[in-house]
Amino acid sequence: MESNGGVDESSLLLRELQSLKTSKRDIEARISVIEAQLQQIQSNQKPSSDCSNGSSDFGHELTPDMIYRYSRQLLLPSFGVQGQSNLLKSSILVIGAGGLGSPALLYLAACGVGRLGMVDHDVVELNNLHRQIIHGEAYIGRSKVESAAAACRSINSTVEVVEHREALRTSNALEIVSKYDIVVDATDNAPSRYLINDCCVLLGKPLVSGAALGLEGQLAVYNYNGGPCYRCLFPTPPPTSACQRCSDSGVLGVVPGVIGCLQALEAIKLASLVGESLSGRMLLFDALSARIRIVKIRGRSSQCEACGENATLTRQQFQQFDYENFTHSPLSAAPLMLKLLTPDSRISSKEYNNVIKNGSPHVLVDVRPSHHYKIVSLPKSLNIPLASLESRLPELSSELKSVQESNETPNDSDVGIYVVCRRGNDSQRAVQLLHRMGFTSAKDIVGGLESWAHDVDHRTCIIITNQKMKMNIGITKSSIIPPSETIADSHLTDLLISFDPNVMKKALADLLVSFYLMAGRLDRAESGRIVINCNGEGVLFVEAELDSSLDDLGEFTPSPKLHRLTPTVDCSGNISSYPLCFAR
Amino acid sequence: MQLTLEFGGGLELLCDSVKIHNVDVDLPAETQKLTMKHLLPWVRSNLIKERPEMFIKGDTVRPGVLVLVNDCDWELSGQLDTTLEDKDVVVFISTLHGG
Repeated sequence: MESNGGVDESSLLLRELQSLKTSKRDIEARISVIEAQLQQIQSNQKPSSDCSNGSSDFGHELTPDMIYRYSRQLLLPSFGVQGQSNLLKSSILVIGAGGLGSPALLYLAACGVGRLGMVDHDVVELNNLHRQIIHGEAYIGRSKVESAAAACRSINSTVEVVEHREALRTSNALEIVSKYDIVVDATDNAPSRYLINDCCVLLGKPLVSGAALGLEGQLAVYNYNGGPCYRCLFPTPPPTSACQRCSDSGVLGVVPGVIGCLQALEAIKLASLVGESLSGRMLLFDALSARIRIVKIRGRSSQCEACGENATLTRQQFQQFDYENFTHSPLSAAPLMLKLLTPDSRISSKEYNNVIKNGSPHVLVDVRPSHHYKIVSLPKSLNIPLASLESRLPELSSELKSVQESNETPNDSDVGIYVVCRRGNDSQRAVQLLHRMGFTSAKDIVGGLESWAHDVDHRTCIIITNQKMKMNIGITKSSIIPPSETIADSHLTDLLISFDPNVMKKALADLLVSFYLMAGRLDRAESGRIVINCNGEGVLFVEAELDSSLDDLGEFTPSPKLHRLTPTVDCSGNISSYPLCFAR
Repeated sequence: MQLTLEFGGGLELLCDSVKIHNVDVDLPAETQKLTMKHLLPWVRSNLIKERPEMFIKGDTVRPGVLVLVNDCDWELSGQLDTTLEDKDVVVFISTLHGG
């Protein structure tokens, strides 16, 4: 999309192809649902002539279709008809439709759980797809639960799939969890794990808990058959610095996949009442060395605050308990923003850009781990990871010396020291250390490389996480227009229904390189005039360049819900909290 | 005494990213018996290269670290009072939260 000249015919065709393929898939999914329903009705209506007169003759409730569909697991002596019947009567809730939840949900739907619930508030992002295999490209920007539910229904339309498109919180957890027999914890943060555990203890539900990070995974079954709960094992939450996230530390896609599959297996065993569960034991998976270790863990603790003998946890206390405060970390994995330095020891990425433009002699130290540095880095930066900064200070000193000599500045205190990292947390720690070690002029770049990519160089490719936008947007110009008048609230429906997605798409395609993004909602005044609802704050007009195709913006389906029409872009300003729409 | 010490769940990052350490630990002179109470400070000073607070808190491991002696939770063998034998395998593993 770098060229400014007209619309490339092949890209238009590709786009149309993509859109047709998506429609085809939706239609095929619908066909399979209808076919299954039809078969169900037919098999209920006319007794089959050759093999059975309904299933009751065999002393179980499996219909001929079910017998055929599940035949390969019915053949298993240790599972069989009884296991399948139990499974069909059970209900399982999977909390989190991410790396762990994806395979867990797929297998649970496929194997014939009676009712399958899923909870997640998040939307699908491109950087999820390497591990969250239930989602496809067509669902980028859309609800994970919506995407996962569609996938489960397309595999097995006979399973009742229940969507909970919300975050699990103390206010809704008891109500949601109480509707299911078994809970699968496939979340990605510490407070959720305590919240889910306590909720399961209160409601007496077995909990299949899995976790994965980097190249390791862990799995256990809690609160089952007199075994321990999560709090028995971990009564005190770990320090926040020990709670690494996949978005920071990375994760190999297949690792949560393995653990998620094992979670499905444990849930199936509990639901079908077969085998020996992983209660009182923990499975530790180390992908790199190909080792799986199963260890014996402590039993239920009489001192446990959730399930112990003197535990006083009540539903009311649970609903009022502040899990984020308890674990000192947020329920949704938002990035941490530290403030360790005074403003005079920090500069913004734009100010640093001026340092470069003015040719001021300086050294830029990038304190990220070297494997991060290899992905992307700023030119002429010196990589000294934070962990080794203290021991590698001589490298900084010699770099300062050589910059001083090449610029012929009288002394090395005239050479600036700037420190950058990914988001501006480690850089502050590094500057604190440098100040202590006598490098008192050191400053850090606020917001790190993410801010640099956002505010200065839009071609810097940053692995963006916790931001809903996957493409690089190069903002060339922006201005805020204050509102001219206030208007009464009105409905968007009539405006949006009259809007043809193909026309909109073509119009956007015509604009190609530069178009205007404006943060605000299209609305219609009582006079019938189209206006922009900007909540009294004005409208931010931005002229921007995109580096990726318009398909990444999601499907433009007419809907009264504006957020489904548009990509969810976080522009990190106040105004960006509004859904964004495109116009010329 | 020969011991195999393993670190996992990210704790290996504190010891130069080496997960398995085959070590020889001297018995304490006064008791001639090695317990976990003796081993923890030994690990702290001989294997942990950075951020010791991510491993030890007070006289025990920090919250969120599971200690396994021969694949068994140390809570079952007496925690700090667990007596170690020659060729024992002690695993320190940090609980994971990602997904």
